Amino acid sequence: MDEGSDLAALVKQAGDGDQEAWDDLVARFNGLVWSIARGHRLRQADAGDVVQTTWLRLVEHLDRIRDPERVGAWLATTARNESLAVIRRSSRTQPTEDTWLEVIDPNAPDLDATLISTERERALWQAIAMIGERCQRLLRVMMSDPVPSYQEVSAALDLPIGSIGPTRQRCMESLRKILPSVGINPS
Amino acid sequence: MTKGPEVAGDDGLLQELRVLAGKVDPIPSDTVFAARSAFAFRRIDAELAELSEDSLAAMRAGEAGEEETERILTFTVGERSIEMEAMAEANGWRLVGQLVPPTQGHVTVRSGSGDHVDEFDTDSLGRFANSVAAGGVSLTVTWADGRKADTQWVVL
Repeated sequence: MDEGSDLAALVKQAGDGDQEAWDDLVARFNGLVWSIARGHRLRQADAGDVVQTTWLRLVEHLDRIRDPERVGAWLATTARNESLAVIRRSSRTQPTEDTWLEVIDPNAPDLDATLISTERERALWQAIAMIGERCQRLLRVMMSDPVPSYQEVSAALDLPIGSIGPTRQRCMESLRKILPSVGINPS
Repeated sequence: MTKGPEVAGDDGLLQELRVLAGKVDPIPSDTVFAARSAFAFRRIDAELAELSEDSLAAMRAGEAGEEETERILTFTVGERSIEMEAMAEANGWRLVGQLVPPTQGHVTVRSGSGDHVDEFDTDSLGRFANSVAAGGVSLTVTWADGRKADTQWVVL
């Protein structure tokens, strides 16, 4: 059975009241929803709100989703809309701390043994902070786990599916070009 | 279609970034909990009263001030609606509502992660008032003729 029909079955079971099916959907797509919110440069608290609201929207629409096999894309579209709503609601300037780009401080010493960032990891994160904003958003969404489908990425970013591959390639190229300047030799 | 060496290298680098993101920017556990708990808001024998008007959404981007102290919401289900004015208080919001058409109904207010519940009857003209903490809120309205609707979840 392919994933589409698996997902359709989960959506139906959740609609019939099966909490386990719901938890499976959360496990499958929470990473994507979080990545979309963070990719829109929302701070943790706001991204958390987007995640919660997105799942509440799904719960409200469980009985009326037209393409349950594509619930991933539905969630991605909803997360995108909720993220944009947060941006509209907030005051004039967006915060520049507590976004996903700030989680690794390039200047912090390795004090936290559980979150030691290797030099390479710090450099990679630094490099991402130096590429364009649209590429940052694309890459953050594509960094979600499990790997999102192009359909889900398209919904998350409101980009035509056919442009995802070429855009991804262009963004990765931008990233690679910066790597030497942060001390990473291209492998 | 086979991928060229550059794209295959992209896959490797992207996977490395994916693993890194999972390590340094994971979903907080309370957010995972909230996602699972959202299932508690599943409607049982109730229709969905969708948000048909929102004073906040009507504002253009950037017009919203530092903090909005008043918000007017209308939820609609069929030819009935629930109008609500939310006014900012010290610890949350004061909701003042009206069922339209003005008839008595029973209201359940869920807020927080659904764990905070208030239940009461409106007056004979369908009016009610209730205080909630900041965050999300959803109302269940049961009319005298048995019709029942849940308002879509809104974050105040």
